[in-house]
Amino acid sequence: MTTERKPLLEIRSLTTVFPTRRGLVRAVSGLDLTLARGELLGLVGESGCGKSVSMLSILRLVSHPGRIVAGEVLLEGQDLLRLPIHAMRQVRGRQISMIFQDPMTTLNPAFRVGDQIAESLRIHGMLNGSGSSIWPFNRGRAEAERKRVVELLDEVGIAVPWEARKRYPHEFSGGMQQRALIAIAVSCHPKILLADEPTTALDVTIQAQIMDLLRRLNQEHGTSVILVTHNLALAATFCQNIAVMYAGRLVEKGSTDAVIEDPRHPYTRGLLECIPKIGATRQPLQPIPGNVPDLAELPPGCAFHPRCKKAQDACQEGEIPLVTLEDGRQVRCLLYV
Amino acid sequence: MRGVKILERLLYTIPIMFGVAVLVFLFMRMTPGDPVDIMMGEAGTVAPGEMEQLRKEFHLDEPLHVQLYLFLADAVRGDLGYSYAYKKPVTELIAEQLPATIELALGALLFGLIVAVPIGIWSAVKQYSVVDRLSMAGAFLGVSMPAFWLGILLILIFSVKLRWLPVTGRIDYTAGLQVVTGFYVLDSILTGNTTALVSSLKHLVLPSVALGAGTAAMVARVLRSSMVESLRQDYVILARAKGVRETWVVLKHALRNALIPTVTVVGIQVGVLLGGNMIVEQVFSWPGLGRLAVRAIFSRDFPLVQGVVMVYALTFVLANLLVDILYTYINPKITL
Amino acid sequence: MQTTQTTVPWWYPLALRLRIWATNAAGFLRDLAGHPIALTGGLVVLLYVAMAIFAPQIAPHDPTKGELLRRLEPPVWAGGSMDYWLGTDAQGRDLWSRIVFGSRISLWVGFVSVAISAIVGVLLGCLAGYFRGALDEVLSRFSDLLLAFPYLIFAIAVMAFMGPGMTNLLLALTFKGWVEFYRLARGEMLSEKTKEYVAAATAVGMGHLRIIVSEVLPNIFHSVLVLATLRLGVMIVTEASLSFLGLGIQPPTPAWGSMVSEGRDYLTTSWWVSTLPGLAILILVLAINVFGEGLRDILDPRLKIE
Repeated sequence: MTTERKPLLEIRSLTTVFPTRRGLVRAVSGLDLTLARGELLGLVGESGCGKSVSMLSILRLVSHPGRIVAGEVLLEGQDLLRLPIHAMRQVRGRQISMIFQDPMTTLNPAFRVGDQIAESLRIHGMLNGSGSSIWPFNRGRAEAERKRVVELLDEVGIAVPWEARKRYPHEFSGGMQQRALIAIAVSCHPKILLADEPTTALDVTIQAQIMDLLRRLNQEHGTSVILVTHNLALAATFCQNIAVMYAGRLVEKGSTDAVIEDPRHPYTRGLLECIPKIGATRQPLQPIPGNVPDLAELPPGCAFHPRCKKAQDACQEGEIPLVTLEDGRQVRCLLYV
Repeated sequence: MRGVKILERLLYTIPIMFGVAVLVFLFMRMTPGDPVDIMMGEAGTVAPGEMEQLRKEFHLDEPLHVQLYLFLADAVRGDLGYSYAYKKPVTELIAEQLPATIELALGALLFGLIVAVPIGIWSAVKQYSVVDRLSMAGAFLGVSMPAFWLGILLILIFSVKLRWLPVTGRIDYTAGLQVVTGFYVLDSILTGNTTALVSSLKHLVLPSVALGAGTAAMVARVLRSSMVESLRQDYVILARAKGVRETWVVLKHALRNALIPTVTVVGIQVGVLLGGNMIVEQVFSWPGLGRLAVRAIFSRDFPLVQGVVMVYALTFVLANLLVDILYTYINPKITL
Repeated sequence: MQTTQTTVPWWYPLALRLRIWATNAAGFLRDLAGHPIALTGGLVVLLYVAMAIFAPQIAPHDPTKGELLRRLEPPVWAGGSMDYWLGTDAQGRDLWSRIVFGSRISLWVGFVSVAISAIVGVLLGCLAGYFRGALDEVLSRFSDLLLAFPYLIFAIAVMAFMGPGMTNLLLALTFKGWVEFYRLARGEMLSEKTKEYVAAATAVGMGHLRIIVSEVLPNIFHSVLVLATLRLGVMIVTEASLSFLGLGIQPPTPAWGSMVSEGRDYLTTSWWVSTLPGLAILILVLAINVFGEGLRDILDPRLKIE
């Protein structure tokens, strides 16, 4: 379906490590991922598998002592990892935006919500083409800014936006906080939105609303979205394509229907068996045995082999290549080599 | 809304000040023996005929509760009694000396903040660097250093050995300053007297450093630890993800939140500054309230001691009120 | 119900706790060894304590009698003699001996005033936090009132009205000093009270005082210890400041604060008279604070800089 489009974002063998006392933690190792214009891509995996770190790596926001040691992040052909820092700042929030897991701690508690949205507009000179400045001393621009902030708040579905912009984050409910964060993220019409577990901290009913909002933004503005989640069911309902990560590596990627109906990688299969199906006959859920491996001491070969039902001796050694199957599906498993 | 709350807090200081007055009164009466006799014995400057008059003035012939009532009634009208050592009303004496004390306290606070804020921020950003470790060791030293000893060291180095700065007083009288407000630095500017400005600033430097060093150390420590904390928060990552410059990530997003605990500590420091004032004024012969109080104590000029202590308490309470109000502007989660 | 309760003596939980402490003491010392700076601080404090206890044995001269002919002699490294290795003051008294004896005043005043403050404050705080009501109301208002005075101002005022002397000095320092402990204990008590073990103790029919003494007190012990250490430095500086103003211990008894004050007149010619006793204060207070910080890191990481 999406194979013919030229990718908007292309990640090539991205590797991010964290030196720790116990050794080098390879949070992301050799990640390859492409995102097309207008695509809704789900990035799925258990917590601690490197999903969030890969998102932060795209924006080069991995906090100390984490480091990106290899790879390329090509945005429309330009490698972000080699951009000078000032040019990188032009990408952040303008080309690629991010929304985070916990809106409560992500919004700055000391500033009004409206000002936090306006800051993005100002930094990227989104008003009257005036240069980027953080000083709001221009009256005409202040007026335009207010108007735009209200528009944005309205767009993300916050009631009474002209009042809401003057509120502080702690005066918002969790759902409203996440909406405000989305307003910040989309304020400069970014091409890509990285949504890192955007609904994990919210009630189920709010979850659905937020996902609807993201879908609407995708349809109306053509914003591509990478939805990072541990919830395969959520990704399945929202995304066109799904990528599954395990222990810092991509293990499977394909269209949602294909991945859900015919998972190829044993890990993906295991994940699917963990999801209760409403209406299905009562079957015991099948948890995947064992635990997520320690990223500082990854088992050799396929990181999943200690938990895999179909493991062979060959799984324990060497690098397992990512194979592209005839239907365009990518799988990293010896069964398909 | 905020106005009403501020007024409420202001009203709340009234019972506190009332309690302060009662406490001061009780202390005075706890003094062993007849205060008038003691005063006479120490001062020896009052004619015997005045004894009775003094007794009356202190209302010592009345029962205790009546004495308390009369004392409070006078205090409310702004009458803190009469200093017989200076032969002047206490309020007048205090009004004369208060600007000097406030000037010194402000100088110290200014010094403290100018030193502490950059150090606190820098140390947090460059946590565990050499600069950070040295600064924090210095801050530890500053917290442990008695103000009077630091004052003496400063005099020894900068006045006695290097002869850069004057030892005592507020100004050279040859500068010919015309006093307007009592704040010499301000007066020099108002009257356009450059010589006086230079002289008063020179006199202000060492006492401000001696008094402000502890504050600088304390504020630097707190600011550093709260900056480290807020630099770790998610909102800092959001700010970076928005494309905010690192300078502004630190100075706006992180600092704004780190100021919240810091302001609380500055509030506590106001009390330390006022107390330290007495000591530092003594070291530098700074003609302020503290020196006045110490002299009054040694001449057993009880009405003056009483008055000065109450003014100190009032200043402290008001300064804390100011900090509380400031706090509501800095921390949106708190409304007085 | 009542009969089962009497089989365990009331002090039993306390004794049990003491045993746990004894076991923990080894662990604590190990933790302290991992804090070399704090350990150094603790050792320096111990050194000072030893100096105070054995002052008559350590001091080579009488701290109150001077040799006027040898007045204002410089320390040995500045051209003085080994007889008076830290030099002499304006009355020809040995500075070293006076500093050694001065540690007695500082440490005694510091330890006693902190101890009284802690006992009074913790006791009242526990009672107020446990029983609430009028007692809590009165004590809390009174402590608010005391907080309206800056610390030193308060002590100076008390000394001014009551006159100098050791008893008055201790009174002046503790009259306000208990407030910090009161607030700590009251706050801790309020939060401890909501925890299960207090409810459990009430459920088995333990008396109020017994709950406070044997259940809650041991749980707030660490916080109190840390606060006490940090207050110790403040008290010692306050005492020195009072002595500096001439409101503390009266001459000729050597107190560091008054020694600094006496030396001021000779600053231009004999810097050591004033600065060396001050250095003694600085090192002691620094050691106490360093130790206190380490103690806090080890025992009670929740207590942050006030």
